[in-house]
Amino acid sequence: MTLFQRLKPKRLPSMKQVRRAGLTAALPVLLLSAVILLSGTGESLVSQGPMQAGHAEVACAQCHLPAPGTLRQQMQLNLRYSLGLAADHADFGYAKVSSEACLTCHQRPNERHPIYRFREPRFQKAVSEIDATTCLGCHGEHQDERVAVAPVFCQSCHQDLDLKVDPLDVPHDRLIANKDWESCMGCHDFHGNHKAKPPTKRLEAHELDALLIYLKNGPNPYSETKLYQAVMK
Amino acid sequence: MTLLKTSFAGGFVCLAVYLFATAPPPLEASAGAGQSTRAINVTQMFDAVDAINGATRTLYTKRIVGAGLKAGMKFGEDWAEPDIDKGPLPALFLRLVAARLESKPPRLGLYLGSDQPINKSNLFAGQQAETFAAVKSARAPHFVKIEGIGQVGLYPDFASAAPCVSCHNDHPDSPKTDWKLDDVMGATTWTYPGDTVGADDYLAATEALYQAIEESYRAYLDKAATFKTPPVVGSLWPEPGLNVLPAADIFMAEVRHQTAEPVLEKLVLLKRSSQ
Repeated sequence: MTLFQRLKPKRLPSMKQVRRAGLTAALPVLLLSAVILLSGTGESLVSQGPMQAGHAEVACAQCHLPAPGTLRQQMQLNLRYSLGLAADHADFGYAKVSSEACLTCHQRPNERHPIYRFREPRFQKAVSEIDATTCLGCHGEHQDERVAVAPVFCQSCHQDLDLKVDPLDVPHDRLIANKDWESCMGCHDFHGNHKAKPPTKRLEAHELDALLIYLKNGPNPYSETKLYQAVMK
Repeated sequence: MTLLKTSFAGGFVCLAVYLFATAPPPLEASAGAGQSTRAINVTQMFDAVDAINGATRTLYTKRIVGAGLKAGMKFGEDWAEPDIDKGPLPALFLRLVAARLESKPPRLGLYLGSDQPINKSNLFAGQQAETFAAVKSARAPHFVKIEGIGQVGLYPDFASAAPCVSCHNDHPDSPKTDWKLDDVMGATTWTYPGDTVGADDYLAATEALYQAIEESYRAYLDKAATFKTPPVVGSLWPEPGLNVLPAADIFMAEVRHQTAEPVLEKLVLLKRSSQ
């Protein structure tokens, strides 16, 4: 008798046997997957993409916090919400990551553009162009880049800039008239936390290419010295 | 097949028992939380938090900045820069408070602005500018509902102390240089998403503001500790020849003492002092 003849089943399994075998095999696979995904070793598998360079050492749990309530309470509320019996749904498992999570480490007294200010009514038009009310409006995590928007956002608020004493050799109002918005960050660090004095000569500003590389996770052209270091809490 | 159906039915029953029969206390939906308690018009809450804000501004301006200057301390726009031995000016102190407040639930917004600001980023625009015109004319608060923001309250900021007037008149970037005492120099804007708040949220909002004030004052104390000649922090307030600052609990005790009455009045009496 050949090997093939020995291994060949005498009769094909019934559908019931197939289902039972499938269930028997699936259960341990599911359990093992759950253990791997919920343990630290599975973090890279569930991550939506690589972090920006500054957050390479930040653990998932620093930002992804458990949602309020137990899983059972969350399911209950979501069921009530789906039946129209509750005003809002609950986050399930983990809470949605918000700017508050970012501010836990990054809130500083010298912040030049704090997000809360853009929630004021007079910034509604600007916010319709660039969502500065949340950190995630510009900083998309898990995309392997520092900033996800083009560096021309200054135009949404500073069109009417009028300096009584202009320190720059090429006046700011001329830069604005020329719509040279990509030049702003050549001198000004948006959050104002790099220890550097803005140049007074236009030609001494950082090149746009160097800035774009920085925004895509490259080296920092401003200054390696920060006025306030983020403190992980 | 019968076994499979029985398993599904059993699982469903177990899930129902798990979710409902042995249910823990229900989780409150975030929107509308606190509304189970007595509903209070949001303008009442604006009145209360503005009273806290106003008292803090006066206390900080007169007893910290005014008296501190006489004691030899310095205050300036560049206070947050390292190696600068200065404290925040009153408007910048309140901006610190606003930033701290924003990170605390419930979502109460606090902003400073004017139609003649030193910094153009503080210039009112749109509906806020229109409402400010009414505030300036009536010298009283006005309220408006703005789509996408919610309820908005603007409260007049009066030139209540001589340093406010002189500093704004002398500043090189000031668009107006003839301010006088008691002028309406700008407005404090408060925002809240809903029309009403529950008593719980009212207390949470006022408490969040107290906490934001305390955190901001502590930030100043932390900075003062790095000065070349750091002030002594304790129970005393600054005065000529006395380089001291009250500790955070002393400062906050005074803020709470001065504001307890309006906060309780607005919560309990349901009577607005402003129109």
